[in-house]
Amino acid sequence: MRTIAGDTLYVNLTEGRSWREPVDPDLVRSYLGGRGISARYLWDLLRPGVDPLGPDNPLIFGAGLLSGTAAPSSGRTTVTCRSPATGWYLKTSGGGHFGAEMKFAGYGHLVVLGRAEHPVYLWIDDDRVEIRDARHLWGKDVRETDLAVKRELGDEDIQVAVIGPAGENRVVFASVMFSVYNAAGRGGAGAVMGAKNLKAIAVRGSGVVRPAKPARFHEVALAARESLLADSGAAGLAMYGTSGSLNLVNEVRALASYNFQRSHLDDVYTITGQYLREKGYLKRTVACFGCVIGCHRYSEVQQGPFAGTYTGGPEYETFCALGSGCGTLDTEAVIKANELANILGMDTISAGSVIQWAMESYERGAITRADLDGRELRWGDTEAITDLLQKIARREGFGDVLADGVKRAAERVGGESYKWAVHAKGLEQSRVDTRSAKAYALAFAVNPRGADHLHTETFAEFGVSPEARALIAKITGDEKYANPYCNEKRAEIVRWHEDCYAVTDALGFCAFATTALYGITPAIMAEAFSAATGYDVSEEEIMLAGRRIVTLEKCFNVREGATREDDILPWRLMNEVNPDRPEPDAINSREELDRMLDEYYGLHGWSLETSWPTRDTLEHVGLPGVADELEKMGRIG
Amino acid sequence: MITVRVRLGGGIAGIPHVETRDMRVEEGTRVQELLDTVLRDVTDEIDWSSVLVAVNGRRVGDRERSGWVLTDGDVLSIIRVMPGG
Repeated sequence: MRTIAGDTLYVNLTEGRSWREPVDPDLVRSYLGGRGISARYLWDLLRPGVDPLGPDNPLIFGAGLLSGTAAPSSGRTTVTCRSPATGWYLKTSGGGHFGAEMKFAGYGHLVVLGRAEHPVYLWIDDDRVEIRDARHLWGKDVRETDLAVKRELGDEDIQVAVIGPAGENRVVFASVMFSVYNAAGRGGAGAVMGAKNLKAIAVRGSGVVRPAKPARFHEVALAARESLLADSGAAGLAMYGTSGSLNLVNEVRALASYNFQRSHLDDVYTITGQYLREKGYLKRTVACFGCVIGCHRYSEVQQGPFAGTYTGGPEYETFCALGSGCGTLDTEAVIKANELANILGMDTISAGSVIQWAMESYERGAITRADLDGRELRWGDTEAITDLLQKIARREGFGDVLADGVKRAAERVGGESYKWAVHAKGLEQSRVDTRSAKAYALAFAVNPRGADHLHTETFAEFGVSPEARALIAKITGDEKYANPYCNEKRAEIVRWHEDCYAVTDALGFCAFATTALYGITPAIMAEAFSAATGYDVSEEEIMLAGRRIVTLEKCFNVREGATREDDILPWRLMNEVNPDRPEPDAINSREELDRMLDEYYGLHGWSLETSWPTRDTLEHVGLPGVADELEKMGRIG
Repeated sequence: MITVRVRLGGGIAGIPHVETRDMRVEEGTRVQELLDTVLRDVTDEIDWSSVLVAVNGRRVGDRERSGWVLTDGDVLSIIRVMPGG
């Protein structure tokens, strides 16, 4: 029988040893699990200023507190470290079954320290932990490695977290892949793993995770399941996956296309989930651990130049990043590009973003054929996309420039190319045009890891379901604020979603269950946590725990030197009006962002001047020790 | 008379993609009136909980439709929407 929180397994690759420690119950009360406890571990273990790709950057895998139980859609695993892409805080999460398997083996967290002398992989078989030679796996792609490890260990049912060639080569947007096709993609955790010479982590667990109050927990889990399935969007998400939302985003002029030079295209049907299903590309749908929705899809191309292509996805973000963003609506080419990114172990958002930037740079003459090994690079050139993906992963030719991310690539190429390098804090922006989605704009600007949606998914601002409109009314007092073009009340909307998303991640729930569908509410999460742990926690208390996590992550960046100046959006979005919505509010102007930031910092109790949390705020959210440390550094608000 | 471009589909009325058609309507036509006209032609059953109605990309809420006057060149989107991200 396993405890709900599990133990923490430490592995020091430099010393070649491992040990386990029970989790302090106070940590569970304060930080819940998964992302929350990982944030605390990183704060405690990481010395400020360390090289993200050096041995002193801890790499922490955190299974959601409820992963491995009957709680629905609770299979998310968070990976936490200092990001090589941004230099700031990184938490990135993936679905699949890895986290649940960690819990079955008795571990809630795995902390990887140091660096191995040569490539290794970890084999965690319940209590037995081995650091095994992986030199024969180095160079293999994600699919090959997953298969090889399973064969070597003689068990096809174990769960494996893997890096591909991109991680080995320290591409700063290399991902950690769970169950082959589930990516912890953003921010370069795969590069950190590669820098540690850690090719894979295989886990097998034989235990059962026991909640503190099993009967009550069972009731709550069933109620959560029913609530989730009753959401008006549940059937659509199950039927078409995330790319079913592409039509919506296109109609509201927020579909990032041609490197954010367009936000609306006439017909995007061929890159929608609807098209995948109608035209037979959808091979099967797959559910992550405990999920009752099953939005993940596997796609296959059976004919033509890409025949034999088979991959998880494409998700919404991938269709935009490697499709409309690169100027192509070619379904099969995007599926192929998605397969390559997955097996090479790269984040599709960032990979697509750097390619789009290169396409625009070529069009504008900032780079030439000579830079590109003699080839042209035009919008919609699908052969160039697949070619560049391979070169990036292996750091060949111009791929080596792109492998360092769009911010550094623009710095190297120079000129005005920074203007179309669509990133913030060094992270390539997720594929929503924030000039048409103002809560997203604020959320992206303040996200500690950079401009993306997986810290604060404010999908509700689109107001396209009764549940979304009701939530916006609950947060702001009026349903009229369910309007993505509106820049009022965005701070309230963002802060609520931050808190909720942090709780979601910490418990291991999928954000689609809480902030895209709304069936699993904070009240349900509080009930589930209470029944799982035996602590009696209210909705308000669990949301405060979420804010504690968010605030600690913010403080991590403050400790590394972040100020208000770092809470910014990409140049293009702040200086160019959305061309497909030529209205005065179709821009993320400096003035608008400043006003939203003032409101947001004010709500949090952070300094408007520096963005640093005040001592009062830190004490209120339960971080007095963090306040002490920041005060010593002179970085208290 | 004015011209309004109607974009309809995404799963509504069995139209999987988004169809575009230009419609000539009387000046002063309101969103609800055009919705009634368009949808009468294609279907009589709509689950409005998952439909986006928007003019030039801006969502038009249920209560706004009867008062929202269309102007020449407007684009009226009527599409089924799904959650995602």
